[in-house]
Amino acid sequence: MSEKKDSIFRTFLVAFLTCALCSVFVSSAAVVLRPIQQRNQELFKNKNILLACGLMERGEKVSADDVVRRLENVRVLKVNLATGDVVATGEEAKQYDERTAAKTAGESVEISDPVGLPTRGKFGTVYVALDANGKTGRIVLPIVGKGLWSILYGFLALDADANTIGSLIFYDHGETAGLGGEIENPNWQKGWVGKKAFKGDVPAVRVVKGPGMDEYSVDGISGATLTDNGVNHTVHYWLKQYQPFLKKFMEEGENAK
Amino acid sequence: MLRKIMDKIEPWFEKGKPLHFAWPAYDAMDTFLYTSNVTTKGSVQVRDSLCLKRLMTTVMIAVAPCVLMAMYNTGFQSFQLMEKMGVPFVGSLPDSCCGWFSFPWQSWLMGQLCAWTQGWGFLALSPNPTNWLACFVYGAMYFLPVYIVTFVVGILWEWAFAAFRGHEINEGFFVTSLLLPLTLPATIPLWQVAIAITFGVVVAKELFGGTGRNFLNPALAARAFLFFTFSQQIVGDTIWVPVDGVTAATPLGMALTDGMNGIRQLAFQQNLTEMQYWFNAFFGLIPGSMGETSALCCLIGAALLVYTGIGSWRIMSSLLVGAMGTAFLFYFLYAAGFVTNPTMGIFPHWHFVLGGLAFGMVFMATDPVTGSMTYTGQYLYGFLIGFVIILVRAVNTAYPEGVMLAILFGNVTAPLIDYFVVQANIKRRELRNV
Amino acid sequence: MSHYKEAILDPIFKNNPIALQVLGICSALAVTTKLETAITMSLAVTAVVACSNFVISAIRNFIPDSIRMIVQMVVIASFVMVVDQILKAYAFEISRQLSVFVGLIITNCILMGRAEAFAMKNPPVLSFCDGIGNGLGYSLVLCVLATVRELVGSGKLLGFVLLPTVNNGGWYQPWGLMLLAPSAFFLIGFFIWILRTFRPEQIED
Repeated sequence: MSEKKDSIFRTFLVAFLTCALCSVFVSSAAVVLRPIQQRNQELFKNKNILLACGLMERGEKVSADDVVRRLENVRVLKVNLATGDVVATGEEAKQYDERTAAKTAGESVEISDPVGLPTRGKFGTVYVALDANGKTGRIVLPIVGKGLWSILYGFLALDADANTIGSLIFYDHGETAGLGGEIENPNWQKGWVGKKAFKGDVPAVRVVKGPGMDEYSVDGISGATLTDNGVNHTVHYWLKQYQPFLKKFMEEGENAK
Repeated sequence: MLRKIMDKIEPWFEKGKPLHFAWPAYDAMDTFLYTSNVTTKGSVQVRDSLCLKRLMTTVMIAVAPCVLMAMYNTGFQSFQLMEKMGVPFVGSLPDSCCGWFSFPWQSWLMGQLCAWTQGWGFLALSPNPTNWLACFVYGAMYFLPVYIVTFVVGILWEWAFAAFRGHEINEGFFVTSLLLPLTLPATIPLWQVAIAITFGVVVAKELFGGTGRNFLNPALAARAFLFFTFSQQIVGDTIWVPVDGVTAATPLGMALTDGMNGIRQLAFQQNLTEMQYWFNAFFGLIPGSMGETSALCCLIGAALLVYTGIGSWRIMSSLLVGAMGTAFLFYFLYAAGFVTNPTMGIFPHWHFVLGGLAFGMVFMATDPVTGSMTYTGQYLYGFLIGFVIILVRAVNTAYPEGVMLAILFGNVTAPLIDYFVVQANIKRRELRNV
Repeated sequence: MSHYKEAILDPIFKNNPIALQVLGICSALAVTTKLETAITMSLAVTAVVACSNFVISAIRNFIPDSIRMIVQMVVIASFVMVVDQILKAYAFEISRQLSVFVGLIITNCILMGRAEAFAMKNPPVLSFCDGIGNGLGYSLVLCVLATVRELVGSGKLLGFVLLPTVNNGGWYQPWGLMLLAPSAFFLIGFFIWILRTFRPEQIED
């Protein structure tokens, strides 16, 4: 028995059968579950967009259908960051993925600011939340940059005046829990609400420590100076990038009236 | 007289007697006052002709300048800041019982003392940085509670383990309990001190067999525990001066965010030239951990330790060479434009006076239990620590105090270094005898 | 019958995979900052070790010695990937927090250890019970660690605030160390200490 079991033919046969059966098992599981997983991914991103738009409360339980319904009040724009022109809206804009574009030659632009990333996509996505009258409620800008240890992913939402900050959220990061990780603490993120993003034409809102708070400063996280610095660099960089768009958007908004 | 009393009460503590559980306490008292009457039996390893007690006493004398400076500077920094910000002493006692938890009693007591001693000539206290006696008294009010908590909590654990294992309390703890408060900021909450020393004694020392068998320095392990557990209080990027509601950066913190510019800015704020400010830092008149600020006091301690042969001059000197060499290398790279990180551009002589480098070099790295034993090993060990200190400070700015981490790292590698040195010796001798 | 009972109950205290065999430490460090993730991880590991034990034991007489390890590995890896897919589909939030650590169950020594030491020599149902038992032993340690770490490190348990922290306006100063991996080493050490105080036969010389 044992000799027969160890023959070369048997060895190959067993190896082949195990691999074949296991791969069928794994791939069928993957195929069956794929749609559910994609829906989860989408839902996760959309919920964060809704959160930034102020269309959903933190910790609110929202069903998948409800998320889709609320998203109808959010316009998606694909924006040329250099000129500030809107190049696409709707489905086409939704298809655009900055993370992939940033890594594709020809689709990306080099970053010289200290945000800890080498490149960004040529275009940016902007979410515009509409209020009940169909007017602009919030303008949501996706931001990404390096903290102390990790890349921070978040949204910066401006109110309709394109200057007052409506909310700032970070939904993905790997900072030290309890220190830099406090950037995901809603209590800290609340500190951004109502601050002014630009002073004249210059991005001015920043995290500071200690006394001298004004309408441009947000209270820092104690013990996390370097994460705070990362947040500052990130917010400033993206405000600068989106500035042409914000200006055009405001002008055209006037015209539309 | 005392001898007679001690002899008389001794039988109460013998085996089988009701007070036997307190034998370690009795024995510690007895041998601390008189020389031990028990001689070692069986084979022992002689490393030094000094007994542990003498050794510890000498170390404590060597630390004394740092302790005095710790008290003085804590008061000095507080008064300086109070004067600048115009903060008065707390005048009234809290009106509710909850208020007592966060009541700054030091400030209240000092206010009372100042009023009380008015007109006493040179003994009159006033909240003035130039009144050295007042600085000293005020600083002592911060240092002593931390020290007492460290000592009492630590000795209770020592005693518990000693009673449980049936051996005496080791004197090593006297030094540990003195070193830990010196590495802490004056504003540290006392309950955190209690937890830290518990960790230092129980986990870093007793679990590995007690004094002489620990591979980590207990005081540093306790400091590291605090650093990682309650980082917000101790991470060192804000000032440690006990004045209510005021935060600013420590010189080390400033240096690590902005490089030399940070230091110059601090000097400028006080109307000092860079060199004058360096001397301030050298004498220890800068904010920082209580006992670490004064490089001068550490050097006085170092002289005594080296003179008596207790502290290894090999470790101290090679540590200094390692640190200064690395700092110089980084400075060179920065000046030549290879790196742009401003923390690399800090001048080597500034590294020496900022943070706990001098203190760690003199009192922590030279701990005979956790350091290297072999002479060649000591050079390597010191150099490694010096290198890692600057590496952590310059490259990983998230941890401002590289000294603590570097020495703990050195502690861990010390047995390995010794092993290789011994192996190399064996090989050389084998070759010689062929 | 007592065989089965032994196979399930022994690994919990008498022969605990983490505390005595000292296997699977890496994941015990990584996923125990929150009780929720620890429980999910425990379930995942228990399921994988039980199922892979069962399958490997069922085909043990057909596996040639020369490719024994590889076959075990393939079976284990398949189960891990399926579990990962299921978590991504039905427990998305938690699987995001566990990130790579579900995939890394493959490298958890408990699985290979049990497959090689037990499933290759025993019938399928008994191997399945052994897998359940070892999974439970692993889960016990994980849950104890996670309970301590989440409560002391962030003042919560299963996400419910028990000790309101200073940053959120409460009084509790959380222990940051508990959220870092080394704390799990200390806690595992204490766990082993306590366990061996009550079961001195586990002390090694």
